[in-house]
Amino acid sequence: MYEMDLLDNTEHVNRLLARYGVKFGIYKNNTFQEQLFPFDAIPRVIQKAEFDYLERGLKQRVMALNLFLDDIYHEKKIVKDKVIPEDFIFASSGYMPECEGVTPAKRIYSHISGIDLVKGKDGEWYILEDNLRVPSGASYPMIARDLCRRSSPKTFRDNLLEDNRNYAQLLRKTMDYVNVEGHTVILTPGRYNAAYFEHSYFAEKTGAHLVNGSELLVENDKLYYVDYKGKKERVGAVYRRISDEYLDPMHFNPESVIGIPHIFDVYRKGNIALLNAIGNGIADDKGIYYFVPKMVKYYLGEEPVLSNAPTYLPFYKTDMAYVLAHFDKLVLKDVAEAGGYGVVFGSSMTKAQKADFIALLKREPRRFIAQEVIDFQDLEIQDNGVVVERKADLRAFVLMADEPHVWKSGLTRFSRNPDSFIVNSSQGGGFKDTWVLSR
Amino acid sequence: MQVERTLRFCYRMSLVFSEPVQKHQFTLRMIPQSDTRQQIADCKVTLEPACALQEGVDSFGNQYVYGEIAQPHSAFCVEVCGVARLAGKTAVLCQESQMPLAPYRFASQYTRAGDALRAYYAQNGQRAGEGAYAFAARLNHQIYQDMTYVQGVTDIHTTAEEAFSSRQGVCQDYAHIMLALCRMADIPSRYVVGMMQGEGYSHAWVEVCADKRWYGMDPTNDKMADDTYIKISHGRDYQDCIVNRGTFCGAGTQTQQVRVVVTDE
Repeated sequence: MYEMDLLDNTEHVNRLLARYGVKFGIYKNNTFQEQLFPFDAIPRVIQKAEFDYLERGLKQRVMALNLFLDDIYHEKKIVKDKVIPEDFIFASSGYMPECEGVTPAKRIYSHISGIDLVKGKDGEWYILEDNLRVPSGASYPMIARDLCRRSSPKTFRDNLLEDNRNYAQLLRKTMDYVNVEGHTVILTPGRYNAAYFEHSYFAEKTGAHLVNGSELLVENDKLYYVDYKGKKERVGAVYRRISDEYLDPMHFNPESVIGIPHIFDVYRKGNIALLNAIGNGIADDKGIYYFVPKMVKYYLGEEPVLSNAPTYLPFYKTDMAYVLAHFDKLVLKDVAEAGGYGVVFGSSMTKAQKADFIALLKREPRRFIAQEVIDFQDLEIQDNGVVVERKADLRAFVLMADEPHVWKSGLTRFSRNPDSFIVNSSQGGGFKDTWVLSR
Repeated sequence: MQVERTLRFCYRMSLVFSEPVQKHQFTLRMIPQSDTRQQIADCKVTLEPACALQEGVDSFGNQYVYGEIAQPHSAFCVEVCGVARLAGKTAVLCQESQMPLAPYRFASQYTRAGDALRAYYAQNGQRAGEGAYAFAARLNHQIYQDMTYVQGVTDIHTTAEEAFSSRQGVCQDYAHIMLALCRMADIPSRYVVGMMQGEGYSHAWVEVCADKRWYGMDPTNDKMADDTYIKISHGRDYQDCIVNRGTFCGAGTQTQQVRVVVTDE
């Protein structure tokens, strides 16, 4: 399917990626460490029919999640109708009461969603998690594709695949669609952020200004961009790559020096669009994940196209009984943690650890979800010139403007450790390009 | 509304900086609002140095003002004065706005119980057949008895669990402890910042939702919030009701002074 030069140039492509600054920064033991994000040139290939199916399911899921967010911060019908127990919403750290009654432009909450999926050995796709806050990663396959096209032009002439470099246009359209009036900016916490490469790359590709908090200012309930000469220009949309807590020291974490004082006031009054909306954390909470298929039925009246990994909520007595009876074959996740942390496999615990964990589970049942361990398909990667198989997932990107658009590519991440199921980049994995065939 | 008492209030807060600061952004939650228990009239906000003020209402229903003083200044002073007509015995309906009751029913950052509060709750928790009001009233007295009012041992970051472990604190701590215990009993309860006749400083107490109404209780003084209490704001805990939030550019240190005067009209 691909020319050998595509693979032969892997090292060269990686060297270029490093030069462009395609790195992943992580905080470990309180120090900032930058790691290269290793690229593997063997692409993940998804057939057209298969991607069409994913596309249907992803659109449906993101539509339902948007309606859920709107409902939670306004009418709360889904709680009143007892589809989701109150505890799972209001005791979650993702729910932000500060956002009650706040309506974002065009009622869009999750403009850019990163939905993580895996393909099981049974050939079925399963949703692993929804990322509706600040999902990152689309820039990696974009730039990798760009470099690979140069390194192996014939491969891309001979294969009919979707060009994934249109992500920038999709993103631009998504930002413009909600722009209230004025410029569109990408707000970065700065160069020490794990995804700084992505922020600058998107700014370059979409033509939006790349700004940090000190270049934005609020005056008379409007947001302005102040350029290097001190000239002020109105801003109408902010693609912010800063988490909710740090966005506005006047309303959230008072210690934040990367935020913009009063930006939340401007947002509340409808004078800017924020991508994504504030308060989305409630929708990608691991406890809420369990309810997403129910949301699809509740809000859209449709059967969900894509399934969750089989999940149990120890909060429910029958599920607790199941979890205790099948503890060794389940994976348990702390709903408050992210990035591959707080994930434990029942089978890997010692007797004492297991007893401690079960005691904790019984004391705080709401804090955990349990899932069947999905035996997901391996993908081939090159390991020092040898082709080996490793676990991989797929982060699909759904952009919401006048309607949801699924980007015809995605970030395929793999685990470098042969025994690990955890593919998170903060745990040191690598990535691949994702090819979607156009016919 | 049956007015029982009319009070004149003046809440003055000043910040003095050791060196001039600039680009001073602030948000002030210090404006009492009218509800079925209190009517606020002739409310005047004065700022020194003067600047344009914007107004907002947060999702908890609190009114606030905000603005920026760009030019260098070494002092910042706000004064909010007005008249409050109080019907002390009238309680406000629990469900009066967009904000649902649920967030007031779950532990928040300052009110999360640890071992000390859990043990205390095991002893003093809600008894069978005891209504929410009776339980909260009993707690109000119990906390007053078991805590010692001491200034300086706790600060604005102290949680209910920490304050309770030392059995010492100020009104903020008393209120957080009361909230933690009410919420362990699944009773919606909220933190209140306000003014109280004879106090001289701002004060914090709680409101407990019982029989669909909010009842003000003050564990620091072993009292129910009566017609000598003027409410300013409410929220899940201290954090939602911070009177003055600000950021500025400058290297100096700041000293804050608060003076609250509440007198009978």
